[in-house]
Amino acid sequence: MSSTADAERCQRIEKVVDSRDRISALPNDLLIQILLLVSTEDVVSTMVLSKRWRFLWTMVPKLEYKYTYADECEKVWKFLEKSLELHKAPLLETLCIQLGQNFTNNGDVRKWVANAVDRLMRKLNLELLWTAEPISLPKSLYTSKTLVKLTLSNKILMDVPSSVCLPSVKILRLLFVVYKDEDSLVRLLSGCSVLARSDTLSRWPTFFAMISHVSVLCGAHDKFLKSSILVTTLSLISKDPKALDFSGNTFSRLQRFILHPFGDFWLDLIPLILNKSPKLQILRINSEKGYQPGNVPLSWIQPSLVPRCLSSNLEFFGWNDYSGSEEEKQLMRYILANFKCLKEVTITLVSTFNLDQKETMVKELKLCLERVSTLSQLTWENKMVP
Amino acid sequence: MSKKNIVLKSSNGIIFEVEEAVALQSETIPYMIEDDCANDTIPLANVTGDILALVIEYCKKHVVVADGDGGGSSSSSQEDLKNWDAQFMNDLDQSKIFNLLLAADFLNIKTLFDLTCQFVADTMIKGKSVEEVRRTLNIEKDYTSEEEAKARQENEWAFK
Repeated sequence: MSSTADAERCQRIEKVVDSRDRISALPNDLLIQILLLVSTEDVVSTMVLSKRWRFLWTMVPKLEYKYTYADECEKVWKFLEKSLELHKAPLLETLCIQLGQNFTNNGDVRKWVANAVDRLMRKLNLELLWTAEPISLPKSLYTSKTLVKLTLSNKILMDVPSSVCLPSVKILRLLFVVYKDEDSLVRLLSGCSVLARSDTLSRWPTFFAMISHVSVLCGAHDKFLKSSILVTTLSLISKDPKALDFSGNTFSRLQRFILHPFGDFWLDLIPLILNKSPKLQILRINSEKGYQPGNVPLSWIQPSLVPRCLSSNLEFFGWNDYSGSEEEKQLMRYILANFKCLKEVTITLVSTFNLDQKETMVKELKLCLERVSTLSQLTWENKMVP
Repeated sequence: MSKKNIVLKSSNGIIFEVEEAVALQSETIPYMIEDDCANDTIPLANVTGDILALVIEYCKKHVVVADGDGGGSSSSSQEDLKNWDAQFMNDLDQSKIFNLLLAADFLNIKTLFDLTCQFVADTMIKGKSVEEVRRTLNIEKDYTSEEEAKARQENEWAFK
């Protein structure tokens, strides 16, 4: 007892005695690694710590500006302009500019992006929520050899030149951007030769889609729908799948389908996709993020024929935040009864259930699952109510 | 698979014998084994004994136990590990923290390097005023008051 107390006292004394400046003695590359973990504002203000720190901030290869409210719009623009102007890192790994709704457009975002492209930028995240007109981006961005991850959001006009060539872009996210014409998106995608993942969210009011891998689905527009038939992963947030015209198209390569339930008709979307996806291996329903029940009661209409993927390929089924409404139960029973090569099921129940409700639900689900003979792993995750 | 031990020697001559799996969290040590295969002891010329003891304590805690299940550790042990990491860092004084950072960099133990950088960033820099950072890190102001005032004025845009 007393020895631990002594040890603690010694340690404390040591802490008091040790008042040397250790951090300034570190080599620049280690200091930069540390500074990469704090906000650009904190990084910039290290310039007056001491002479050692005077220009260190200009070498940190990441500039991140995230402003939701424009309390001091002028000051924010000044900060952006000055810090970008004085920043000297020959390689700018990341540039992120996020400006909220009530910002006015009185800075030269185009110029800053062009400057970052010249400095071999690898990641760009541009989110402009202002009410001002959308801005177009410099042509040089569309021919960057180094860009790996590109995220553009809202007030950005996609005016993609025919010379577009982005040989390193692996992740492309386009959220509510404005397309100059329909060809702009097609051109952009064809210019990304190694794209591994692409998410786009469209502005069309009836339908939101996030699509991964190689191609894109943007709305009920035929052109985009046709180009989506080669996707391997499809992640949908859908308000009204009836706005979709799937006729004549097959997702011949689709392996993973993730549905984020939204609104009144999402149950209808499942047989639609299942029927069109012969290669589907993974089906996941994710109610976790902001599922809002609609006004019209959900209805589950059993397909007349069992979709091919259920009997041949589907190996994984997951449902996050399963609430066990009558319609959800019907869907669950249907899928589980028709899975022929199911290997893994993961279900999490909504956190609002009490213990009794959970028990009843688990019992019911187990009954359904007993019929699935191929099952090798079943996971239950009961979320704790925070 | 039989367990093999590796002998590490700190710059001040202290010997540590650890299981291979513990030592191999360092990406530098495998090269040293290859370079120095005739000799069983690996000399670490720029890590002192007290710091090496800390590194080994960390690596022992983080060694992935290759048991029959073959799977990763469960979420509760991840949580335990996180708490352990926080406590581990909290118990160190600054001199040890920065020496540990240098050792993690030299030995190329990525998770320990990241943990140390994150701890320094979070507890000593993030959200602090210039004066607070100076005080926390014992950075001596080598600007004269006039020089500092001038620098602040010229870079008024940089300060809230």
